[in-house]
Amino acid sequence: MSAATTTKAKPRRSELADELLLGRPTGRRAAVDTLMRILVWLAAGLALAPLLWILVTVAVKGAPLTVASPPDWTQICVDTTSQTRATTSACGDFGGEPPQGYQWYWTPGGRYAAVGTEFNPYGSRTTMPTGDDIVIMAAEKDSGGWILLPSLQWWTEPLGSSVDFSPRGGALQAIYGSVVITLMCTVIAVPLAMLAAVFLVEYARGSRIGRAVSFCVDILTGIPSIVAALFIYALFVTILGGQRSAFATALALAMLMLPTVLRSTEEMLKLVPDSLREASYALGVPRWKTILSVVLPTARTGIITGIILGIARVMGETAPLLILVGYATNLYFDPLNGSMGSLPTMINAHRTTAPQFAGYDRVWGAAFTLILIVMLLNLLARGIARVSTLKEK
Amino acid sequence: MLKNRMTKLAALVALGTLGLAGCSSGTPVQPAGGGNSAPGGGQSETGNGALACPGGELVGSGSSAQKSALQTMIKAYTDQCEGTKIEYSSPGSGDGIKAFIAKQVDWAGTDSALKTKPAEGQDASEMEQAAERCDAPAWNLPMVVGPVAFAYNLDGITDLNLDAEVLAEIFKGEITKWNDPAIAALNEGVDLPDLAISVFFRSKESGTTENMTKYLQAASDGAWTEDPSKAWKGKVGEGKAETADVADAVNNTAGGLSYMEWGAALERNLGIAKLAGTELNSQSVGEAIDGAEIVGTDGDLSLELKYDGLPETAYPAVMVTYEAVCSGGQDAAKTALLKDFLGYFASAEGQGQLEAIGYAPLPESMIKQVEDSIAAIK
Repeated sequence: MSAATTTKAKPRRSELADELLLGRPTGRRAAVDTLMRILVWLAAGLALAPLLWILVTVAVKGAPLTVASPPDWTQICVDTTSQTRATTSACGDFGGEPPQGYQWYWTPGGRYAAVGTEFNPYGSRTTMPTGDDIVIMAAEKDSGGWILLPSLQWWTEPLGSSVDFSPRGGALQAIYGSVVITLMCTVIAVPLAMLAAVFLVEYARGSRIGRAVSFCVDILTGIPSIVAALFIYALFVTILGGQRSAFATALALAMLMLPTVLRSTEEMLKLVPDSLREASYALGVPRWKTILSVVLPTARTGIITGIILGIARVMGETAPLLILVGYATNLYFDPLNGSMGSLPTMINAHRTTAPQFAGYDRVWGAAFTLILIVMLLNLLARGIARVSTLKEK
Repeated sequence: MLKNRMTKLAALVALGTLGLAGCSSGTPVQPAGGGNSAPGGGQSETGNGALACPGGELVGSGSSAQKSALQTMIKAYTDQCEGTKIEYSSPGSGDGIKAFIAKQVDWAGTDSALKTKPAEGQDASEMEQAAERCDAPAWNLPMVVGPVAFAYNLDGITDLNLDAEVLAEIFKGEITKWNDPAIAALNEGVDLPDLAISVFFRSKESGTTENMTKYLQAASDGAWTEDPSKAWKGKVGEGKAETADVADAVNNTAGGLSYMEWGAALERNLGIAKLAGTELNSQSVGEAIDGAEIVGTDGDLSLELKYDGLPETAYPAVMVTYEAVCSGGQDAAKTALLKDFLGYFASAEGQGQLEAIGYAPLPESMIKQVEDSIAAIK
């Protein structure tokens, strides 16, 4: 209210301010106005802060692992009397024997604690690791640190049989699984959703059956993912005797995707002006051909945007994955049998790793990858929407 | 407008990534070349000795106390047999046995042998159900010996002594403060704080819980009255799903106390209580395992542990964790892989890697019997 008053007052002030003194509200009204402005800005800040916080946290913790990997072992010097980390110089030469009271330790991964902090020997070795292609680095800084070397193993290798504290292995199996499951779910859900939307808009507009279907879709839109997962488990696994598998997961995800895509397609089809349809009929074009070559192409970009947003929604769902498919660290290609990795279940499976180990960083890496993929899909949807509006003009 | 902002954001993220990746604060060290593969060693390649490496895929599920042991074993085995895929998930012994009986996995890791008596409200025992699933008897093969550590979180106290009686009373809710006279009597000269004891337990069915309560029942002079079971029967505390969850809870709670597999406590550098003056180390655990007797018949190697009447230098709260397998009737390729993998697990080379990660190796006498049983799987 008060904000509107001030904007309106602006031109008047320049012309008539001296004569009429209408320029700006004074006294209590001015105070209230300022207060309201502050509150609005505060509200915007409060709404934005957690979002940015989440994004930055995930990016800072997760992004490094997607373009780099820690060395296999980090060599540090330990003061054996107090079991704390000592400066590297206290142990002398890297290859040499440390003096009395100090010892070299090789800890797995690239994280090392600051000088003077307690050293936990779990998982570490007191003899230099051997092997042909292993990478060993020595800690340099006196403060704690994290050594990283450029590497793209995150995108090119599955986690395989890597242990929690080994930095070897990427997330290929999880990325592959997420993509394959989402693809299967899209292939199942999108044709169904489009056909149903065409039915609702073109054939059953305003009819009783149309309203009944619409109502069901509204209810389905709000269905919790765990309910969809349980339903598919009961139907596909218990009654039909299917296997817990990537395909079963895709079925449950399709249940979640169907109403989202259906609703957006329906809205897009409704936007197609009736005059286009009538023009087509007037030329003697049958109804099915009108739909295929006039209505759907006109609404195409909107429909695609809706599909991509539906995919982005389904990508991060976790409950169906937990219930319907086992998590795997190796790459498996059979979607109908056995386990398959995926990004959300990778986060879940490794979240209990102790923070000093590489497995803990992988959790953030998977979270970052998931956000990255969803963000790219959203950008793609925006891009498509933008192209369509430009064309119309 | 929007496009510009998005590009900037993307650039920012990319910059941050590069910046972080660039700051490797280390000096390369030349790894010692050649030599033997040391236990627990990473990517070293060894001649694969007696391994047949039949290849293929294998899935197991079960005990979370065995998680690190199996991870290490799978890594060591697949390093030598490239292309073999073995998965192990660790939702707990109870869930693992259920998945095994439901034919979802090829073997189950369990902290207590399959039951031979039916549970309440069920017609068939775990053994019978597993035999039906296998079309052959199911066998329990002891593979990992793991002590149960009583881990606590008390600032500045590195040396704490408890015993079964006190632990039973803490878990029953009769002792609620760390400075209770009963605890103080066991810890002369230690300045115990006036702090509530926050007990954490495993909320799901857990073999660790069962083994721990077996110890309490046997060693607490009647202070613990409940029968040992996978489900928690204590009167106080807060439940957490898996071993790592319990360990995290103790790590994050001042005054926390819980029981867990040794490695989980070591991983987080938690304080580990002595039991009646005996420290937890591989030697004191080995002494306790020597008293174990095999009660299983045929190829089944279920053990009965002694908790009472052990020498004073033995750490009494130990558990032997098993791999529950089918003794026959399965797909030939999978059986070959399972036998090869378990054979490596039981071998001296396999067992030798366990000590560094918080387990104790099987006694020599038992390794022979386990190997015989594995060879007898058809």
